[in-house]
Amino acid sequence: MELLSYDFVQRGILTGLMVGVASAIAGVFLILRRMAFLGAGLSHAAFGGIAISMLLGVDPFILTALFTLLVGNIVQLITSNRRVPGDAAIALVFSGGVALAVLVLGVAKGFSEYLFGYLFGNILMVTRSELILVSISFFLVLLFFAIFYRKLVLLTFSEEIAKLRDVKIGLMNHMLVSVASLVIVLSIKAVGIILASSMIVVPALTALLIASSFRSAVVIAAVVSAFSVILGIALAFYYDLPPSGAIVGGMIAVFGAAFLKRVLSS
Amino acid sequence: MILLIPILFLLSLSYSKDLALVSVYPFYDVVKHIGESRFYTEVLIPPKADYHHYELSVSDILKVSKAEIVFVSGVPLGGWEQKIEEISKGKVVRLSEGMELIRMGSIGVDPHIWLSPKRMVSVAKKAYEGFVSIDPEGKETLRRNLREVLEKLEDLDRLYSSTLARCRVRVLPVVHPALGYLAKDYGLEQVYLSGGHVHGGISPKEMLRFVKEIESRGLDFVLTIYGQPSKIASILRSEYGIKTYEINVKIIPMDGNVDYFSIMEYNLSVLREALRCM
Repeated sequence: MELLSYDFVQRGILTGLMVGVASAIAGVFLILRRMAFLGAGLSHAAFGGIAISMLLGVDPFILTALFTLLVGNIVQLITSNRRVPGDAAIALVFSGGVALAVLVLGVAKGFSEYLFGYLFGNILMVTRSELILVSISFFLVLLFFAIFYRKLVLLTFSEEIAKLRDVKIGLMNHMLVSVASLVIVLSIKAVGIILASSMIVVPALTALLIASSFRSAVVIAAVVSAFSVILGIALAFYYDLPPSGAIVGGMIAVFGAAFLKRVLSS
Repeated sequence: MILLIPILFLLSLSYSKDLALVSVYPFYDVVKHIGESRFYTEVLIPPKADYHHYELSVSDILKVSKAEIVFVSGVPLGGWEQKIEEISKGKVVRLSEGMELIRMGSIGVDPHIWLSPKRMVSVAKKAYEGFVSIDPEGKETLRRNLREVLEKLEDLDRLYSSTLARCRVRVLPVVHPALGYLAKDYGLEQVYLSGGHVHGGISPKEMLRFVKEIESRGLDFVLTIYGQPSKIASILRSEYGIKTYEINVKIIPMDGNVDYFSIMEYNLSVLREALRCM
């Protein structure tokens, strides 16, 4: 396995596995709550956060995570009580984030070349310190799902029943959006802004096609994501392909196979 | 078959040497010459690639990982070069280290140090120090190679100095601010087109300012960038009747001129005509 003899590949696979598993689990909850497009909205909103962090000269990961967290919670706030439709709020932050990035680029010249690197990401260029940040975020995301799993399942299937069981709906929604924001920032690290939402949507969608229960959907989504990450990095390594495209391509191929199986078996 | 054996032998010899990687082509010839017979030198990104927006491929990262030493500009030239510095600490040599760099306000540091032969003397010495630090046994060979390179660079410097000292025009009007070091080191002045982004997005206001500046200084030409098709150049030609001359800023191999020295001589021939040097 020549692949594993390089430390940059090892770091890439480790990062990809953590990001893939975290985003796939979050994806199952988001898709079932009809919030699949939240990923695309927040990843583009994060573009604005990255631009600001470059303008201020601070670490892009932490500031972008905080920025995306703020934007995600604003989306949740303005959509609660149906004040603004959810899809419209996501479209708002989607374009708002990109507009912010373009404005920052226009005002502060000289770092567009650094900013554009975030559009497609490169998982094989992860540094040790970035790997540590990803690991910490990954464990925080896992901890959240482990602690609140039951409440989240209740909330996903029926807000009314969740209310009857004393689940604090508002708080829970804000927490889920916060975790989704963190997961999006992790996904940007792996596949870039443009493809980040695929990490959330595609493995979860595949799992929901073939799983027999909610729990199995979560497990299958994580497995599909982990498999696609390894397949994508291996293909990228041996055929000199862009890793982000290869990973997402792998995820879509698995989805295609699952869909075909579903169609044929019905 | 018999003919193939010596070729294969030579090939195996070149690959058995340690790999030295140079981030961009303008530094390649100088660094390669210094490492000659001790290192196998390769350039990382293609000469025509956009330095600012280049994305490293997997094979590029693999090369960086396999290289014993990696020479980067140290400015850095783009996110990709910055990333190389981050992931290969300990084997990176910043060729501009110790050099007084030109800061251009909001645009940032001017990276085009290679367009001044005087700066390349410092680059060559930096490359030599880098090689010696990982190959002390090869010091004699490396020192001999450095001497040869320095002689060539000093010849080029003398040629630039003597030619540019005899120019009637002392201003370098250029569509991209790439000639700052050349201007500073050889007693010229650079005027350039700036804008939202140095490689495009020029506002009409900035374009008008540039044209007015050229006219007010009595200039009838503008220097454009070879290998980079420019809408600006064609507008300047057709709308304002301004002549354009192409400077090979990125030292891209062109007909008959394939290495740093011949391309720099070609650039000087362009400047000689544009600046009316006697």
